[in-house]
Amino acid sequence: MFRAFFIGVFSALIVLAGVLPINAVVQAQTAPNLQAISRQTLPSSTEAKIPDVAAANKIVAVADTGNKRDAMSWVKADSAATFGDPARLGDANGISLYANTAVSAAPNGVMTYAWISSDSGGPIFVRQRAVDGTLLPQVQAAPGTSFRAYVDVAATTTGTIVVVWSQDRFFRYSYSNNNGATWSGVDIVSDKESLNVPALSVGADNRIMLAFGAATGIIYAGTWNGTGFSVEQVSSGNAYEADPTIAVGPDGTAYVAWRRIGGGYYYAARQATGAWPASRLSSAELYGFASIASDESGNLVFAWADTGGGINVAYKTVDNVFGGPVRMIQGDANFMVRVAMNSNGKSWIHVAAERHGGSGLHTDYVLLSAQGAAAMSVSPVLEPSVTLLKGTTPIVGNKTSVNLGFSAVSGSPNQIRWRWNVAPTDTLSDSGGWQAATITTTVPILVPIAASVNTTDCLSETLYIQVRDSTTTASEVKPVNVIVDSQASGSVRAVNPYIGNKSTVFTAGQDVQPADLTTDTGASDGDPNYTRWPQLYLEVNGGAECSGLSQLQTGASLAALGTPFGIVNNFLATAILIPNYNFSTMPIPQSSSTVAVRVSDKVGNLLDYTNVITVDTIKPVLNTLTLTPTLIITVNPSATILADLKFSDIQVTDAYPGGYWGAWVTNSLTPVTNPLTDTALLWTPVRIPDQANPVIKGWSLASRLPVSFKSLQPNTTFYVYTRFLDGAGNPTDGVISQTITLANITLPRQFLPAVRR
Amino acid sequence: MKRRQGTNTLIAGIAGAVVVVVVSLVVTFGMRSQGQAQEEPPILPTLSLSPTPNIPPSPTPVPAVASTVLAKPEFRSDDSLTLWEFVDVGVKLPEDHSVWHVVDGALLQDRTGAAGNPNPYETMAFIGSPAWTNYTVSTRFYDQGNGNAGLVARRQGESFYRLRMLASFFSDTPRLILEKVVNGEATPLATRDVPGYEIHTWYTIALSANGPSLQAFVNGELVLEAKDSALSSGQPGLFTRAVGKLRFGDFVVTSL
Repeated sequence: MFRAFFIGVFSALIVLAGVLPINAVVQAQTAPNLQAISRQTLPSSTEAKIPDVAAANKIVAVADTGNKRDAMSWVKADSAATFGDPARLGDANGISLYANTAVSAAPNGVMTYAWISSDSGGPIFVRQRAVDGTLLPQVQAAPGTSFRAYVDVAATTTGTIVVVWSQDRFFRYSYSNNNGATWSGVDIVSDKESLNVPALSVGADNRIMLAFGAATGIIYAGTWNGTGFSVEQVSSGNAYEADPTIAVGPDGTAYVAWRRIGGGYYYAARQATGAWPASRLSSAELYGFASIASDESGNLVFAWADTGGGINVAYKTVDNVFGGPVRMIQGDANFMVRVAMNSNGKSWIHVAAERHGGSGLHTDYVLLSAQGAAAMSVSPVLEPSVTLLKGTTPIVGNKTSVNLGFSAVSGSPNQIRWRWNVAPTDTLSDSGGWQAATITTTVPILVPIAASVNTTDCLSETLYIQVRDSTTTASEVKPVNVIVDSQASGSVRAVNPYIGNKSTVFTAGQDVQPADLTTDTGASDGDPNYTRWPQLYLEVNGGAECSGLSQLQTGASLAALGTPFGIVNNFLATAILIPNYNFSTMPIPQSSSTVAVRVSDKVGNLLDYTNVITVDTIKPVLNTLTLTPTLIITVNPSATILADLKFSDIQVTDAYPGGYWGAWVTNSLTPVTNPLTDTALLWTPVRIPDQANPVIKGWSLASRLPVSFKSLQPNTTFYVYTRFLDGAGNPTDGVISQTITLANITLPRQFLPAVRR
Repeated sequence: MKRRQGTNTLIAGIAGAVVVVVVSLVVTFGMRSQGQAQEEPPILPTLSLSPTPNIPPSPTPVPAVASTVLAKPEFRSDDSLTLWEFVDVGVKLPEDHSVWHVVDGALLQDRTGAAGNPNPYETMAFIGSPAWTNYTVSTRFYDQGNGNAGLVARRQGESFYRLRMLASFFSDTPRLILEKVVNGEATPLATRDVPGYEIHTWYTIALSANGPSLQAFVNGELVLEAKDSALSSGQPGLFTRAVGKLRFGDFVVTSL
């Protein structure tokens, strides 16, 4: 029986040896081909410490404080071997160990930087770099105070920015929910006493995570909850561990990596239960950060500095195939290794590290690549056939949906989900979850524009898409941009072309005709919708029109528009004849005509405008038969040269509503026999808005006199003559006159406030 | 009877197999809890770095004339550290400060208190009186990968003379520098473009300050000299960076 028992034991052992995993790693089913591509000492990175690196949307940025005064950033395309010169972000004075500069990459490629402006407790500043490379102004995230160090930053695509730093033994933070326009106060992350540098990361779903080491040697992780962090213990506390970093995979899984004092690189993936089961990646002793990063496909990269000053990089595909480590050493010593990774046909691995050459400190950048197991990927393009662009973003018109195309498709995806302006999740999307779709480079998919999309601000809207196949293997979330221009914007006016374009001073003609110009074509001031000549001033101003104004049509109605003609640079000003006006008869007909204008922008939005213009060459008639129109002059006792002209018993007959628009007024120091023909009189048109109570206020009795008002003596008699004007500027032949003698002539005075010194 | 024996045999065999299965399941899944991964081998192979040779004994020093010795501290235990003043350039956080130990009769620079991280900031150890004027300070050092070793003379606050040496594996030049530091700003007084010293080797270095004359020696050979009158007195000391792996022995200060 005992023999049977042991036979059973051995049989079971034989069977289990082929079933139970000794190690969960799948060994080299598909080699990830991890390889180093290039290495560069970043230009101007002198005396730089704690470099930071971030990558997303095919862009990589390194941030650093150098020269003991400069917060700097280097940016390039992910696959480019080297960086160019840095951009200076701002002042970071003092020891760069403490006045460091950090960078975060949002999934759409917007870079957010944070730096400490002085190692003596200066303010913390934040600055963002748009996808097109524009550096926005810096904003203050936290005011200056006591000594602080080791800032890190994370930013989402929805405007949330969180900065964390070490100050007075604890990690502290502040945040903004409007891209840095306003900031919260400063608060403490947790009651765990801080150790070394905190590490922030943001995932494709805009989840912000934090990892930090405590002085007790325990590793913690925090999840941003909108106003603070929900902190969890990651490591067991059975050993002294430090210098963690954190990454968030495309499926929202958080990964924390850390080092064990005495030897060991560890990392853990947070489970749905909240547990953090740790794996020992390497038994090597490392210094500084245990760096970890995820790309958009879910592959992981690990990087660290070893005790020999070398840089080590290892890689894990989303299917758990490991590659490396690759060790890079070239004499000098490397410290504080950081890593970022993005997916663009393959995994692009970006390592930034301190390099000490014996006397000086610089930042080195190493580019590596690896081929992850997740071969499925797409390169989405919105409106691929649209050629109207703002930068690289297509502009479309007032549409309810956009065409989503693909310039490249890898693998065999057959499902898609999407969401506007934030990555889709299993519970939130604009597509209603995963939808079956034909995903090719030839047939676009129609994606409805969600109500959340702003179609009036002419700003880029981002559509986040993700594809997968029937086995539920998903690609990374990809952002793609479009601008929706839903309206033509601008101002249009079609008015009397001579308003404001003529001298306001006229002399009477010999034949009592309005003598404003020899051609007698227009009025000098008046109602812009009335004219003595059937011509219009047409002005179109696009202002802030999004796609740009394209063309213009005019006509007698919107149903009868003429040939379009183009608008350049959003502005057009011209003179045109009144549409359909009958020029064949003379005198020209008195009539009101409708002018219709239609303006189109470059994406087909229309802006319609109509106006009614009246041609009127007939003088108004002042009733002096049955009424005795009079003028009363009332001087201003404080400035007698100024007077109110009050009219009574005024009845003017004209086609203009109310009979008149205003009046011609003139002054004389001598009586005038015939004001209609006296060429010495200089007439000024003045608006009279209230025909029920016609008054001209503040008329200067010295206006247009042939002498200086200073030469006017007391007891001077002024002769005031008035003719009424219709809207087109035709004056009455009837004249109203009045005289006034000023015993004293006083001028207006301007009183200034007294200034006491 | 035979049928009963056969049945018992079968039961025994099954029982044995069940025991193995249960034990295997417990071992495989029951112990994989948080933070206990040290029981598993590492996922990746550990790359072998260059083997660190055993540290040979420091060569027997030449006895100094007793009447000229100003300081000759012994390194017996960490209690010896109380004789020294350690200065870390630019360090503000307590955990970032350098860590020093006495090991095997030598003063060892052992990185920093920030979880043992190395940091390339300058760190120095001073001893003696700031009133000392003309003297020679000498020491032996053994470097296992720090790359920076040196001596300091006539230190007053952040001003001193310094002999600074770089190891051959570093790329910066020059690798032999005699410099004056005034309020933290260094000015080279004399340099030599040499290959740099080799690690894993004992060296004897000395720095003499006698009036305005400054001389630096490596293994008894005069390698640098300069004249400067800016600093006339101050403490002697040791120089390195807080990267660790560098030990000093046989430190002696003799008057001139």
